[in-house]
Amino acid sequence: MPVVRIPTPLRPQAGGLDKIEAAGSTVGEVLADLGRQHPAIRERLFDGAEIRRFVNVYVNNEDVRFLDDLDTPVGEKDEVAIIPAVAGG
Amino acid sequence: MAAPASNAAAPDPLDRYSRQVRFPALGEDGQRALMNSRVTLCGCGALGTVLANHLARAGVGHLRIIDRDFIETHNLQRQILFDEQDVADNLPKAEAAARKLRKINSAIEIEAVVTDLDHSNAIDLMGDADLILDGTDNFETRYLINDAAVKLNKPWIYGGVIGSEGQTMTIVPGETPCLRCVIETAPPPGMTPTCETAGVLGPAVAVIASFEAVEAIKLLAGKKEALNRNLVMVDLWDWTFRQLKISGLLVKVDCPCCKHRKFDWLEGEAGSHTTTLCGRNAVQIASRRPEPLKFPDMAERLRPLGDVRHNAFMLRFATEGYEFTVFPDGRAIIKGTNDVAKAKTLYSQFVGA
Amino acid sequence: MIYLDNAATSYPKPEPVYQELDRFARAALANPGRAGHRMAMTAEKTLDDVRHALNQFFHGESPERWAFTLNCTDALNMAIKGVVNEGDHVVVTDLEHNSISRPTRALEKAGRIALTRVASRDGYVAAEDVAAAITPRTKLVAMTHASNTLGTVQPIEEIASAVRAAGALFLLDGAQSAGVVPIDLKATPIDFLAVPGHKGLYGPTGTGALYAGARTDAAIRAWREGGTGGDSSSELQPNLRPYFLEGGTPNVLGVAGLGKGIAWVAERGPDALREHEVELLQQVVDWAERAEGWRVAGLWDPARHVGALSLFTPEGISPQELAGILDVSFDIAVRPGLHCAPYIHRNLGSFPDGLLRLSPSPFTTADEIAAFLDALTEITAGVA
Repeated sequence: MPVVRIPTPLRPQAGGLDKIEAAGSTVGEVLADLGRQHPAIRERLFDGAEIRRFVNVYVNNEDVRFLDDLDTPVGEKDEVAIIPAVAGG
Repeated sequence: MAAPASNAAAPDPLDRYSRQVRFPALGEDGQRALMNSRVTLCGCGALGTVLANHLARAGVGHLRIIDRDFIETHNLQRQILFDEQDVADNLPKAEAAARKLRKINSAIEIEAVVTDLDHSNAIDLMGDADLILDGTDNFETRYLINDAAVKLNKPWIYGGVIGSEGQTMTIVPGETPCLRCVIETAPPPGMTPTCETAGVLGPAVAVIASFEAVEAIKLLAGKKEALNRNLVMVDLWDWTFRQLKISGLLVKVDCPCCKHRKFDWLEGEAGSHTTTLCGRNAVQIASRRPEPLKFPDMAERLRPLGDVRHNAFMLRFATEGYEFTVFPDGRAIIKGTNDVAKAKTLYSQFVGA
Repeated sequence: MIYLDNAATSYPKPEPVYQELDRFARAALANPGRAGHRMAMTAEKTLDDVRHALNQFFHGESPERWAFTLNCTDALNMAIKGVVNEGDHVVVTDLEHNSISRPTRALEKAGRIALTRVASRDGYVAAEDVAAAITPRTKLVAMTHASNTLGTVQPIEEIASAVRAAGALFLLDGAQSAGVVPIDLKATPIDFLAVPGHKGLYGPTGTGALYAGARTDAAIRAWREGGTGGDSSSELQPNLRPYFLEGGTPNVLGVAGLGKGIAWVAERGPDALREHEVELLQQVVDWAERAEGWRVAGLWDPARHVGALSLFTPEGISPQELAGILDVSFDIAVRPGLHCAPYIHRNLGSFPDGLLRLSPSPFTTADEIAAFLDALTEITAGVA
């Protein structure tokens, strides 16, 4: 199953886990399954059906906006990473 | 008349840099270019002190350091140019950094600018620079830097750190995606942790700032071909290192800034607008946000730091002698200061931007 | 948006004002001049017409007695600094806006004048208190007609007579009253009347006027010297009214809009406009009597009140916070704080947090006030 990397700020909404297996063959399906497992995350990631504009999602280190957005295919061994912007400094 | 003896032994200005000149990828030509270059460093906190330290030692000819804040004891854990005496002297960060750096390298020019970088002064402070560096702690200022850099067609380097992780990317207008291509919009205040709410480790800052510094040296030395054009992310606690390919976004994203040259922050259209309240020891920070704040999440983050209460209309938070009233649209009244710069700093520290 | 900040500037303006601003900007925006080309003369004529309208509306002595200013503050400064001399005594009240308080306090601090600030009671100044403050050295009594914080209308007819009897000059600040309280310059001995164009006269911002009566002629210095559109050969500011006080290109566009605003007000009459606003405030007063923690500032006497009212807010929530919530969560614009009138807030005990002020207009409806009051009820209920 594809693995979703959970960034530190979202781990409290994901039971403290840093990676979670989620089912699906596209980014959209995988994230939807993640949302089913951890409903608190769903709201952080989505505004309705859209990914919130300040959340970037990568599949195997490629931004999904450069691929097919939520329709980007995800294989069994692929890694989906949620990348929040880092503000501090 | 006898010439002073020291003249005979005038050292080659390159001597002090011999150990990096011997690094073949830089070389003497690279060093000379560095010595003729000008850098504007925006923000001189954790990232900024490490950046300034590297660049001053490396011999960047002119370093302008902009920061609005004064040094506090809790800065010393990671802001490497400052010491306890600076706190006792209540020095502005830019000035304290300049004093320290002049002792480190008297052969370069260092200019301290104690001011709040905003849309009214950004072009003046960046216009003569060969490179702009990000040592800030908030996205408001980063989008402003991005606007100015794209407008002036100058490279800049983004860096951000929180906890044990950090990100950096180098922006060369026209060649790489800009900050708005990659991070379309900043998370609303209260949606992301800040160094005040989530903490930050000194080594994580030093790693990201060092990544920024080495890219800066490449750019200033004329070694653009060696640049890393990815978004680089590290987490020192987990020992993860990741490079995200973002170059495709330059073509793919219909960016308002670098494609349509719409400079919302530089024109003062976006970003926070401050007003000091009439007759009170308080500053109001107005902020335009695309979506309302989530008070329960925000309260959870702030609870360890002070007293937090909220209802549907506002969130109140008291800490360090200041009292914040935050409204769902991101606007805040900060009680306990009449200093607009201080209020902005408090806002980015506790509310986030 | 429900706009309840008309005491700061009126919004919206009557439709003819917008139309005139657009028309005039396209057709007649020349620099006025009495000896110029046709468009310059059209601009000059606009100034003359509006001077005439002002004079008629306030029953002044003649249109030439009206000088256009940037706003009411500008007019007040022009009068105060134009007549006060070293060693003079000036009387003001604690109801003043900073536009009177600051210039007079600065003159006092510089050691140039002596200043007496008469205290109000429940928002009203008593004529006998002003009379008692006048000394043989009193040159000027400067005071507001209606408090911008409380909306209380002062007994200026009595006060003006007392000032005249004592031989001093009387400067009336009409910032909150011009357009809603009748002012009769023939019947009341007012020497200077300062009015804003952009509040109760419904002109755009950047307009105002100063009326300087006959007794001021010998006393006033031109505070702003410069071009007057005529008599250019004179080395000094020509003594001819109104140009004496009007150096520099005036805001002809704004004045053109102001003319339509005055016409709109004159058609309805100040009394009718004031009554509508006071009726709306009565809703608020009735509500405040029932609502826990809320209190009206100053004495509520609808016969002596304009359409501005300030409220003490319940314990635990400041006027600033309330105004923020009203704006963010209810889209209602009010004005919290000190309203640039710090002395009255000290008198009332509301310094430095201030009060929550609302100020409706002829365009405000009873439903809007009801929505405002519902919002206050909901917010107060939500405060833990």
